[in-house]
Amino acid sequence: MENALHYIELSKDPITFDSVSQLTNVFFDDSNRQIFAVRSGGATGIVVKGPTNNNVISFCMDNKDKEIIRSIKFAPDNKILAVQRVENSVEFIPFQDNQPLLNEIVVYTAKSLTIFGFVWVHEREIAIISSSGVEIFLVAIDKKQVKSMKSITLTIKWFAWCPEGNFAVLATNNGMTLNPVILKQKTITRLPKLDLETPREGPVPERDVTLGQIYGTFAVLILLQNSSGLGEIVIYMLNGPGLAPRKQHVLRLGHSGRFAMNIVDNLIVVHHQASATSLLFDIALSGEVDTNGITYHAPITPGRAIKPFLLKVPSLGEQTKYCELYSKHWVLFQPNIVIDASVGRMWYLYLQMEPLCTLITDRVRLVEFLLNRTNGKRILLNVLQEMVDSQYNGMLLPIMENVFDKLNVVYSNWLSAQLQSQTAQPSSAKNLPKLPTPPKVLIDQNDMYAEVFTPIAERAYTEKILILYLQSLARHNIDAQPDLSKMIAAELIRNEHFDTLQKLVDYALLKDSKLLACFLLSHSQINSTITQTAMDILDRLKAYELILEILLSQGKVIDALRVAKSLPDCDTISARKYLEAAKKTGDPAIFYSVFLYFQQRNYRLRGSPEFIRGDQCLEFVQYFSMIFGLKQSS
Amino acid sequence: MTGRVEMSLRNFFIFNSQYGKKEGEEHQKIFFYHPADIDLNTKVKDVGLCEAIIHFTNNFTSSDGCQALNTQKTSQIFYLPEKDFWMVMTLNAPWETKTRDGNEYTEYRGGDMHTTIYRAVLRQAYQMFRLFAGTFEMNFVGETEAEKIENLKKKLEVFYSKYLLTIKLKSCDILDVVQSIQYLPLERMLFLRIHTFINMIEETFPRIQKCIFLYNDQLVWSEVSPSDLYSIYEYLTGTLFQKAKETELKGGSLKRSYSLEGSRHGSFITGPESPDSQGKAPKVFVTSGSDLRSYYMVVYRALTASICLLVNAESPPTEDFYSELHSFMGPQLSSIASKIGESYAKSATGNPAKIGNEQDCASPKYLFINELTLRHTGTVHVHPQRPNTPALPLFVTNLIADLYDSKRDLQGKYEETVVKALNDYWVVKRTSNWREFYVIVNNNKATLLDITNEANKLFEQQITNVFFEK
Repeated sequence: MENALHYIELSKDPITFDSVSQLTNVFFDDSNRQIFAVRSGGATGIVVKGPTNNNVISFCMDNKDKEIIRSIKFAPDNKILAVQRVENSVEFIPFQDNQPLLNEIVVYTAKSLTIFGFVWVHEREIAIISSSGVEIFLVAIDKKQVKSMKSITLTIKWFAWCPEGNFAVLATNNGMTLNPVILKQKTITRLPKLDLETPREGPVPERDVTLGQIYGTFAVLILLQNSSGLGEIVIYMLNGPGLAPRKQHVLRLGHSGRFAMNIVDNLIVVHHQASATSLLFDIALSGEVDTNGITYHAPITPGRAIKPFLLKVPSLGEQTKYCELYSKHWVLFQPNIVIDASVGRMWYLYLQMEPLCTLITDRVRLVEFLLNRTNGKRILLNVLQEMVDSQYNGMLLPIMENVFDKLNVVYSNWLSAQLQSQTAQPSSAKNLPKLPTPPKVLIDQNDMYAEVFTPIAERAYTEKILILYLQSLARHNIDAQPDLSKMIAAELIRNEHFDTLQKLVDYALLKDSKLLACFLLSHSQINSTITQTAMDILDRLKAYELILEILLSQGKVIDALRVAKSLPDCDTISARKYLEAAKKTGDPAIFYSVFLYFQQRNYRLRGSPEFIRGDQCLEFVQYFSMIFGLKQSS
Repeated sequence: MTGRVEMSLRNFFIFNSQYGKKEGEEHQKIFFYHPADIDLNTKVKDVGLCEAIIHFTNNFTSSDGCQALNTQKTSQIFYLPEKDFWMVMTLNAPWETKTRDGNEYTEYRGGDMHTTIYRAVLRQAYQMFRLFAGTFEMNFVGETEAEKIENLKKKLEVFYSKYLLTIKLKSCDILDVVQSIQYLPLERMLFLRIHTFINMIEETFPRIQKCIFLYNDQLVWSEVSPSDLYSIYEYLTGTLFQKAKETELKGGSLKRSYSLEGSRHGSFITGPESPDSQGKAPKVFVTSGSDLRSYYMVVYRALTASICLLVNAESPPTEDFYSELHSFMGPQLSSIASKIGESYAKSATGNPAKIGNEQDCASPKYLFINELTLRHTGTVHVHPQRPNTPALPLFVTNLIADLYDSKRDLQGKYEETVVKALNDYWVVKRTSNWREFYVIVNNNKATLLDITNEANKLFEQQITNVFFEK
């Protein structure tokens, strides 16, 4: 059991609370992620814990003559506690130093309707959802007053709430229509409604609807059974015009029975109680698409159980036993909360990426998957590294081509977003340029170079992988940077593919840079093509100084002089340097020509062919008269 | 009336002076002689004369110093490809009958046969043999000395008796000397696509060691060293593709449906034996580093793109190998071929001012050779496959061969030469950074300055993006 691969686990340090019993009731507020353990209706104490074990508020509340608590929630700053005990009334208890001020309670009572629940939308504002609509109230304890700020009237059957983005869905029309709303301070924004398809989808009961945010978009997830009795989750994304809901995804669960879901890192985890396994879905991955543009998804991998773990059992002293997973006592909250009130534990659900990498065998899908994960970069780099290293075989090249394209789509979008934000906002310092949001995982060429390619340098197949990557970069209009260019050049030289090297430079696939040219020159003794290519680069860069140095070092003094002559500062070039190089060639004709050239220059500049002291050319004047026996008129 | 008789091959022979040293056994020196139907005595005499010339020349030069002997009516070319093996080719000079003072006489034009060019032709004859059979030494095998000699003789006979028939002496020129090839220019994404396609073939089929990619008989990509490439290219475009075309035509309507299928997926030209192909993949010998290695040459074509694969020769490729290869390459090669076609269709409409066949002979022509990669571009040969009629008069192409000094050491130095030739032809040659540029201008009123300007204009136009002292 320990050896099996588990990619879902519950947090190691769950929040502990008094388990449900005859005396104790437990409530959970998913906005503040607080667990309320209410003993004896509050008389013997209420312990509030969350979002971590260290946040504890503990107090007592007299419940004489009062109904039992139906719902209980703190305001976001924990300064007001809202409690509902009867159908049509909510009471507000101010708190000071985490203790209730029981004589300053304000009560709101509605006339003749049923309050389904309430959510805090701001520190002093609460939205109360009742059978006849939604109303936002300002709770003013000092004035002992609850003041209506905004309301809408609607015959509501039930409602669902998503604390992320203050997003709620109100079921009307007997559960056939879902009305998404955004509840904020003083405002209620109604979004286009969602009419369920009859008879398959609706009417839908409250427990089958889950709200969440997936990839930054509000989503309504509805659990259904398909015609063959298997479970399906239909996902409406609120990304149409005016955030109109659109049916876009269907998750095929392949099981029947009871399901519950969590949303972790934009992945949908569907727990199946009967098989005690969880299925993982990613709506960003491709699936079958039907004519209506709805994508049908299969689980990313076959269902696996949550990683088992041991739990201390107080009744057995210090003994431990395996915690019961997928228990019928489990209650799930979004995005990733699992509560088992029978053992008094609240966990956060996490995904383990490494086992997933082993389970997703399709490399391209794995890369797509990891590109969307919050902490995917490190793992993705490892996956890429293994692919080019220990797992490499020739058949993988077409897959790598695909993988590189996936990486570079993200990379090039990011580059153009950056470019746009720079060009859209010229240096006006007033409003700080709004930086585009970086992608979740960005693997740029420097990452590839440093983490993926460098470890495989100088292998037989490295050049082929690099060219493949270069192709993908070019396809996405990304220039190769000097480090990568240099590595490609090095591999090409090592494999003696000088012709290809020259071609790549010609096509500007390896960008001209002095760095690249100098790197090539340092290998020029291997093959003249390398020198030729380097000279071409330098010419395009107009790096004539370097060209002159190279020509001189190759003993091509005449060539160098011809280049120098065409430059604007040709009259200031050092005669000594050229004469020295000319002498070194050992060819008297060359020396003669160079010498005469400089004599002419001297004449043009100073009216006399002679060198001046500053030229430091005495030794060459002597050398000249020595080999040509001509007396210098002095 | 004047008539001209073009040059012709008088004889072609290979001998080795280490054999038949004794008097009366001289015929043993001869390993191959063309024409075969000549009497032995003449053969022996020809060889003897050559030996004498070589021997005499060696007093003054190194052992392979003897290159050519030009006489009024003939030009005899010598080439020492391997130790002790001499190849000799004798050409009859072209001649013209002329009339002066009512008397007919014959004028021999020995000068029209450029020694450098025909030495290159002879060298090519050797390299073609080496491509298909390996070196002479590799074929000099057997139990006994006599058997060795006999084996080599047989090989030479089989190869050269056919090869000599295909030599087109008249259309040889400077490019035979340089052994450079004009590549098909491609846009960069296509270049990369082809590059990675070949990489994938080689990684998927490790037995495939080298590839050559052609489109419409034009070279696109090669991993073979330039000198081997030149021979392979000549074989592919000059022989194999011609034959394949004939087979296709012969198939006619009967195979229409079949070849439609074939054109979509591609088919083997050499490889598995089928009615479509030109038979089994031949064995070829190609240099790899400093060794000569043998490979099977598998040629595959889809649409107008062909790919020549050198498969290592441990064992003949199996049917399975071919069918896997076929299913791997077929779809991709077809798609690449149509992409190249599209890209050319686009550029052809976008660039009507392309220098094409219609240019009149007065407009300047150029030839641009990269000495290092042995690639050239230019308008000297209008058609890439070199039609039999060169666009320039013979004396101009010979002049270019004069200017191309194959003996010089490659240093890529700057050089400029301007030559005024007959009939108002000018040739400007410039060399820089291992690139050679020839411009040919025909202008009857030009001054040196005009020609320089004309050449400069072409340099500006054609030499972009590279370091070249203009």
